[in-house]
Amino acid sequence: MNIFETFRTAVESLNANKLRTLLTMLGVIIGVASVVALLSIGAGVSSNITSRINGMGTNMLSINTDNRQANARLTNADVRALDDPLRVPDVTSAIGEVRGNAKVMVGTNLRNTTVQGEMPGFFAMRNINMDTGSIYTDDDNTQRRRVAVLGYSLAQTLFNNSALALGQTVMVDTTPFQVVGVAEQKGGFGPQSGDDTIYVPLNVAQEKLFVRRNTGLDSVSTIYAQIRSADVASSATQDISRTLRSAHNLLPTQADDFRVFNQAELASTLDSVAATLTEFLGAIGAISLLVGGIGIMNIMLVSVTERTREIGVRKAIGAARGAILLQFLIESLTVSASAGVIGLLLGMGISLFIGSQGSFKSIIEPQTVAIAFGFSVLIGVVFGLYPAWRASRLQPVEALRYE
Amino acid sequence: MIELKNIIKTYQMGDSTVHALDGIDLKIEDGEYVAIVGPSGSGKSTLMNVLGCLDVPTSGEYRLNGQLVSKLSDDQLARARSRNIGFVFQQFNLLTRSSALRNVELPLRYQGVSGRDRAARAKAALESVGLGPRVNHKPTELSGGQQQRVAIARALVTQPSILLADEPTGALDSKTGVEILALFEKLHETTGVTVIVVTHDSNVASHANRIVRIGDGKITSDTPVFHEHRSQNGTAPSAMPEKQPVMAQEAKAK
Repeated sequence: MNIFETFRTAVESLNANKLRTLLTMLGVIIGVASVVALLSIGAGVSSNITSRINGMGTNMLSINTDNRQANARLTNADVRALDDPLRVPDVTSAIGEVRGNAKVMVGTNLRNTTVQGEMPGFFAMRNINMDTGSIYTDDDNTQRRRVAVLGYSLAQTLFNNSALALGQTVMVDTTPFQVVGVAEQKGGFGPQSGDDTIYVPLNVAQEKLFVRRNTGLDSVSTIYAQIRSADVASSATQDISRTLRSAHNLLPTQADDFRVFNQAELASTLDSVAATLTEFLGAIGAISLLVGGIGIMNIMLVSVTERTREIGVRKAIGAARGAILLQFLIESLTVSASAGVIGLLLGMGISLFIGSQGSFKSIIEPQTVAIAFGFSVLIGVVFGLYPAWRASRLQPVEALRYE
Repeated sequence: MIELKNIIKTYQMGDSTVHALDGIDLKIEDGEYVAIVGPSGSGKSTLMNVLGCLDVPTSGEYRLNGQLVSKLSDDQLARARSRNIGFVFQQFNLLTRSSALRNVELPLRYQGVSGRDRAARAKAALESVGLGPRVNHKPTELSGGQQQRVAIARALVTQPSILLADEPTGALDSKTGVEILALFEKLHETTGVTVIVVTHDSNVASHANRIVRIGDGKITSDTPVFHEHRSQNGTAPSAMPEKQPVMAQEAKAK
């Protein structure tokens, strides 16, 4: 008997018990579908995290005050110190930021949102391009001009149409600002996207908007330091620490009153969290695949018992052990492989659907497809082998006598 | 040619040992038509299993066409069956999901015969049992007699030297049973195949040329049968007036 004939026989006997075959397949279908869907969604989420962190700007360190220290603060002087290539050679540029919430108003249109006081270099560092208009200049910052750049969706909310925002005046708390630019849409959700943010010159924010902060008019909440490459992150961190400690006149016995964060490190941490989560969910899918395999074995054993007489007849008319073994093995393989294909399509459908709904695109990697299909075939062989072996060992005399 | 020498087959039933076959010596020449007769429990089924290479004896020698088969492994027995023996069972034992043609093709498939050759030979075998137009019917769409004809075609398609039938009329009404026995006679005479029928029914046995009676695992008698209306040398049956019209009628009905 050649393989094609055996395959045809397998399909015939599976066809004879359609409902049972379908229910048997269901276990593997669910297993494969969940493995494929979870791995694809996981890959999508992790690439989304990576790209979003890259969107924040690569090779960047951020410096915050250590909130556990009472008088800790960072100032414009610290920013200038870190921007000095003689003191911190690995840092190509450093900028300060103040950030807070404020009421932003146009006419009667009021919105409570994030206000960021930024130096003009911020936009380049964070890869923020303008949709219309332009960013404000260093001159605007030093001259304390009340100009603003709106995030895309904030401009939409306040003016209905972002193109209408240019040249208009918005009130931030009690201070009027003239809109000079609207940023491109960044996408994503949460305050990280910046789409709902209003950007104003740092000096104006320090002196007009956040004057009630008890840290002084020249304080900043965060300093961003762009470094030459990811490789110099640790030496740059050391230089930054030394520079800030001396600027803050800290004694050797005193702890740092600031903290340096590495964005790349944060990215890899989040990425590994996502990977762990994906592996965990994939493992749950794999368990259901295993349960599906046991279902196949169970049904194959029932089938062998049910068809004892048929096996006896086949042996009587000349089937050797190998032919019977192959017949039942191909039957279980047909069940598991076709369930694998259906599960694969279902899983791809699910992940594409979820990807189209959420804020990330699911990524169906070729190795995910290969692993899921390979596993379902493997399961057919592993769990089909024992029932097939049992069938092949049946003695023809006893099998023919079986009622 | 079949040669059995002092064949013994024992089974363990709890504490006691049952001698199903107790020193059988038997020789069957090519082209014979033999009935093995005995009541149930006489050992005739065990003898059939040994003759059909479905089982091996506990001791003794069995030579089938010169090959010593009493010591063969499972797979070697399968090959011996495939090459030498065609089985016909009481309950037909057809694969119910497959057409008559595919049922008859099955033994050729296990022999590795290629597709076109296989279909042609299976069709010819079905033709020879009078089922030519029904090759694509499933067993469930056929009468008992027709199913047994399919089973006979399946047994003969490999051109075995021995046709081994176990109560071939046991599941059929008497009229159909007579038709099947007539078919055996016709096939025996036209192909020269050795026919061995195992039965408890002496009417069935009376169609054979030789009757071997079994009791308690031993051969109790071995007698030739002489048929007045039939020639012994396998020439065409000129005198079967009561049977030929039945065949003709059937052929017309289809």
